[in-house]
Amino acid sequence: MEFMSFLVRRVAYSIFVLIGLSMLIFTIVRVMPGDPARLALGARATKEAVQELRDRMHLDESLPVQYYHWVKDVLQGKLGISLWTRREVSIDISRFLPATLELVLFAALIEADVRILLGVIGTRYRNTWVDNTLRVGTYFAVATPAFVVAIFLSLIFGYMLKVLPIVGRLDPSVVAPPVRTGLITVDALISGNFTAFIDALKHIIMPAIALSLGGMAQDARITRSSMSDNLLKEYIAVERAQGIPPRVINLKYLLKPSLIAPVSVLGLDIASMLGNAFMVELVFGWPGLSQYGVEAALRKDLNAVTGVVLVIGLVYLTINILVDITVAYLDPRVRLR
Amino acid sequence: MTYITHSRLSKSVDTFREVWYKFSKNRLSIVGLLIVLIITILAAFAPYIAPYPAHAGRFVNFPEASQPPGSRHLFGTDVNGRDILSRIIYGYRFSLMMGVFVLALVVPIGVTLGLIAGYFKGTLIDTVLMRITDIFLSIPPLVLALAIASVLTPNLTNAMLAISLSWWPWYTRLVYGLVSSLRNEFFVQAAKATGASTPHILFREILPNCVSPVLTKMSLDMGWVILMGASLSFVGLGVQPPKPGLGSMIADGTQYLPDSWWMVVFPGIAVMIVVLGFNLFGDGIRDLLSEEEA
Repeated sequence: MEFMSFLVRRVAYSIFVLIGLSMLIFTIVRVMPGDPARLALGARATKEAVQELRDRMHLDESLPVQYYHWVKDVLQGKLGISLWTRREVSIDISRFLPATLELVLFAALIEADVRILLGVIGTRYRNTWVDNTLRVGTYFAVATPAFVVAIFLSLIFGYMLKVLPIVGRLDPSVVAPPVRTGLITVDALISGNFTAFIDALKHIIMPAIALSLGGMAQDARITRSSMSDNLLKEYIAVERAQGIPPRVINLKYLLKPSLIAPVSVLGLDIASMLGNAFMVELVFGWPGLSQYGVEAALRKDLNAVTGVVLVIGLVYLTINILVDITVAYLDPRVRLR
Repeated sequence: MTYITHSRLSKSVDTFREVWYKFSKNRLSIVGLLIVLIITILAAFAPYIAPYPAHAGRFVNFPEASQPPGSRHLFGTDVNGRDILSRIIYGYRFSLMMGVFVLALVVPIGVTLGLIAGYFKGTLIDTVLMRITDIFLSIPPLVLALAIASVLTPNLTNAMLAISLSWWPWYTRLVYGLVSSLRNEFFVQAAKATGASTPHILFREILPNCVSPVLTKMSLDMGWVILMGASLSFVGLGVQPPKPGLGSMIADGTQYLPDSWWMVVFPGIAVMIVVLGFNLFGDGIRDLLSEEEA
């Protein structure tokens, strides 16, 4: 019961924040200098055409009235026409979003596993050369921008060693699986197309690593330090005295409480992944929402920019709710608050 | 909490030797300090240090285009024949400028809002300010900065503005947390009882106790602001050509991979080093300022 009310309050607050975000992005887009209608139609459009679009967008009304009309459209799924693709923005988004979700999902999976592994290794061999090498390595990994990692990876594994593909989600020679979820790896597995599955994995591995490396390094440090702190706790000493094998102590009694800190920062990590996806997708020609967003931003395609920001805000809020639930599972004390 | 008297910071600068001892206990902090110093000097004296100062602008020298690293051009040249080392040194100029301007804009605004919201905790002022802060934090900062930069004309000033608009809430939230617990301390009650004005209590009594955490965050944030600036510049929303932005140099170079690898690799390493330097330096500042609170 307690948990349900915690969840309801959490979701209600997220809806409030999302409404606030929509006002924020609406204000940013509408307050900018210049006429959105003129921008949409281009310099060669006639005065009458511009005025007609101004009327349709309610641009001569006050800002709150404009917002009211805009929200009415958005709730019906109408985000406006993209100036760049000339399609309804919501259609573009539904086409590009799965690629970005797949990428961020893979990056999060890689990050969550590897950082725990690195943290455990660091604790197991603490203050030896293994630990020190890991520590120096994490400093470099944290400081390198994701897009630089992306380029260095593609330079080494794509151009020099030629073991991994550099561009796109799937090789043109491979038959694409029928679209079900939009995540190519999942679709390929559903249809039993293993060639496509392997090829999709090969394509996603480098961008996913590039996205996850910085957060992974930072969290490996957090995991290691929280494990090392817990190692000194009395309950561990008691378990040792009782003769429980070290492996069981490490994995069962040490790891779970030590995961709380790193899981609660996962939300922040995903924030940086969603941001960095803009650059990494550009490097790997990954046809995702972020690449669409950058293209839209550079072309001042304001409907598309607004749509992309709202969708990313929605994804981010949802992930944060999931993270909170996971933390509540790992740490019962959180639920009582 | 431990921020009770506000004479701590002034005590800590008593002796330079003591400060240096605390800062230098971690060797990596010294490495960070050295990197920060070297890059600051490079940026400040770029016209005297860069081997080819003219190459930082609109300059074309086709006979020397796309040269690999060699004795004439240590880091090679770009497709226009411009010396990459010189452009990196000038790129550092824009990067540092960006870090300094963004923090100079963001810290006073964010800290003031956090002071006010924390001091009036539980009132309407607190609710409004902190809910607005939450809204700004509900989207990844880089996404918000990209969105803001996209509606403005792409250039350095607007990139700084865009980053600032997405950065201030972090300071508001930090200071809000500190003030929420400080407002019940005796020295605040005492100041109130003697009839001190609200601005006096906020800025003379409470603010000095927030200095250490804010300074620590600032020193760490320099690196992150520079990284975000490089990201915007990589996308094309930062420093505009022919001026050298570290991010845009990398973006330009990717077209000529893998043959002209030096156009990408050296600017990439340059970004990494400046961020690394400020991270290590910031860790040192944290060690220095947090130890005296323990």
